[in-house]
Amino acid sequence: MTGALAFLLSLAAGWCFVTAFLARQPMRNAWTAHVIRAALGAGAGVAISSGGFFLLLLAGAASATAVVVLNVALLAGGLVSLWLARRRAAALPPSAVPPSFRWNWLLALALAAGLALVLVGLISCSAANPLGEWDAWSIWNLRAKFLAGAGDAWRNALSTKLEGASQHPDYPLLVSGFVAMIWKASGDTAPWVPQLTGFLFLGLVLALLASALAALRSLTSALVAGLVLLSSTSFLFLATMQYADLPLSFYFLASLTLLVLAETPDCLALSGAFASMAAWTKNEGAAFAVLLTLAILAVEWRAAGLRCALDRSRRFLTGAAPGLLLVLGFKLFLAPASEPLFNQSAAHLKLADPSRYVQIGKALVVELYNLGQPWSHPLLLLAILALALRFRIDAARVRAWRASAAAVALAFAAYCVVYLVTPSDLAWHLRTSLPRLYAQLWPSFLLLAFLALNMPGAAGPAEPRASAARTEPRASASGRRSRK
Amino acid sequence: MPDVKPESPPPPTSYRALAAIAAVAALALAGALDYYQFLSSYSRSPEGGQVAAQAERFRGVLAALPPAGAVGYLSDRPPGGTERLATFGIAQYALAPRVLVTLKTGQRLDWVIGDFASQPDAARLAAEYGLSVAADYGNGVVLFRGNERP
Repeated sequence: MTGALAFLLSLAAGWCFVTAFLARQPMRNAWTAHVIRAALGAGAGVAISSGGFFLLLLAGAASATAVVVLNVALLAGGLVSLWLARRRAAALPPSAVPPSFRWNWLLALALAAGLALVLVGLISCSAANPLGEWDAWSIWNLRAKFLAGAGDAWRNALSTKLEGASQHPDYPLLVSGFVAMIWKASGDTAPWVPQLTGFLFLGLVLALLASALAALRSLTSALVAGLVLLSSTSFLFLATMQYADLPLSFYFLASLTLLVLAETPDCLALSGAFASMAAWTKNEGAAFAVLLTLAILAVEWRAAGLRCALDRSRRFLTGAAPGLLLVLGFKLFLAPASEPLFNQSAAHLKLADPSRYVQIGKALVVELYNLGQPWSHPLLLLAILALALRFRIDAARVRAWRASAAAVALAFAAYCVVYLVTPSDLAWHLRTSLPRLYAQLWPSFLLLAFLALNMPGAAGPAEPRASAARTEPRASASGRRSRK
Repeated sequence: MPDVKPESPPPPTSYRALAAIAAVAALALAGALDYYQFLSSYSRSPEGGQVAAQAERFRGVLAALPPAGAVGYLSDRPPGGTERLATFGIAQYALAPRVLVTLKTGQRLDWVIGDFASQPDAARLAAEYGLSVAADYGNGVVLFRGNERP
């Protein structure tokens, strides 16, 4: 009961903070604003309470009571910031809602039916295997058990002396810390906590992707993106695995969504805050935060000059600073330097080995194929949409879209470089991690793809690509080859 | 932020767009049904609950052990193999926040867990490592007490 209370308090606190940050951010309509805030708020709540629990551990004050007090204090802080933000928030004029696609109700029905089927299947898998997959009990939840232990037992989560396959004591603590916090509050280590956390993040990804696209493009985009996400079976299965890759994919998506949405400095800062939450989730998140900062700097510099670029990067980093400081402190003063990637001397030889490029290339193709089932593969669905609808990026958001796309592309390139120089057996490394790396970036990729697709009812001032404009005249303008 | 109703009727949509969206929806829905069937059969497969069942074997030991500290680990599975790695990892997870340490001859620990694939000769092992049998749970799990405590 206390665990469930701490769980709910942390989500509520996150909602308050996010709603306060977005008080001045215009949204297209009420429901998208509510869903975006709820999804972002829940994710922020997990991250903030996890960081708070880590500070309790450092202070030697972690207990069930302290966890509840921490979350009540976070909620109180969130309510105060919400009250202050609402006082200074100007009344936002309602923005125009574009005309909708008439078959949205049918798409919604298909999405609801597909989601129900997939959820029932995933829940039955999770019930049959409540401890999750290998890395769940050998890394993430094992560390959570140490963190939830009495006295100084939490330091074992950072120990290099543990035996076994893969404890990774240098990994950041967002997921393990959150699960441990709830376990500490409840006084047991019930498997429902990591199970529910996995499904929570699956729901958050779906809700955020759909609501962001509804806000930025159209309800049709939101519904079809949801259907394509439902076809991404290897991504969906992450919900049952209890790994940190699904939360990481959410924080990537949240950071990029806010970057594209941003019409206020607060929203841009919140984008940075979510990038830092990604860094508190996995090491890949730290790389992503750096790459996204560089991408914003480069795109803004090219489009609007150095001054504007520095200003936007500064706002982004201001939001990221608290989370990045936590990660930096953890890495510098607590986490052992155990990453074998940085403790090797033969990396240059591996970079010059052509067979590694071939092996990685083959694995990239195979695992991309394994992302879904052959005849409902998400890339097949995206190809159908791209061929029929072509592309049209909202001119007002094209800079943020480019920066986001650059960050995703750079992150993917960074993953490939890591494979090139990995000290582990390359075949083993690719087999055990590549599907998860795809999954980390997949929701962000879908967001960017659907922001570019010219779906019916898509919002924003049109600025069609020359090629698309030549080959696909807008049906609404000409009325040719169209029907109601 | 109030909802704003669209003032104009929905614009016409090209046949091509309609066909593409309908195809995507149909394929995705059929894929979801197929995936549901896969997940249903996967959840019933024998390997599904193996990890939980392995971890459950240690439930009885938990009450006998102190809540923290190092616990020795003995196994009859060959070291270095995947099975040994998996069973050690599951035992470590089940017994955490205690820390499992593979017991070496002459090493002194207050408590040692035996985790065996076949029925062990617990008395022989106890004599070999200077231990005494505290409890045999009958499921391949044996709790040993260290004899040579200071």
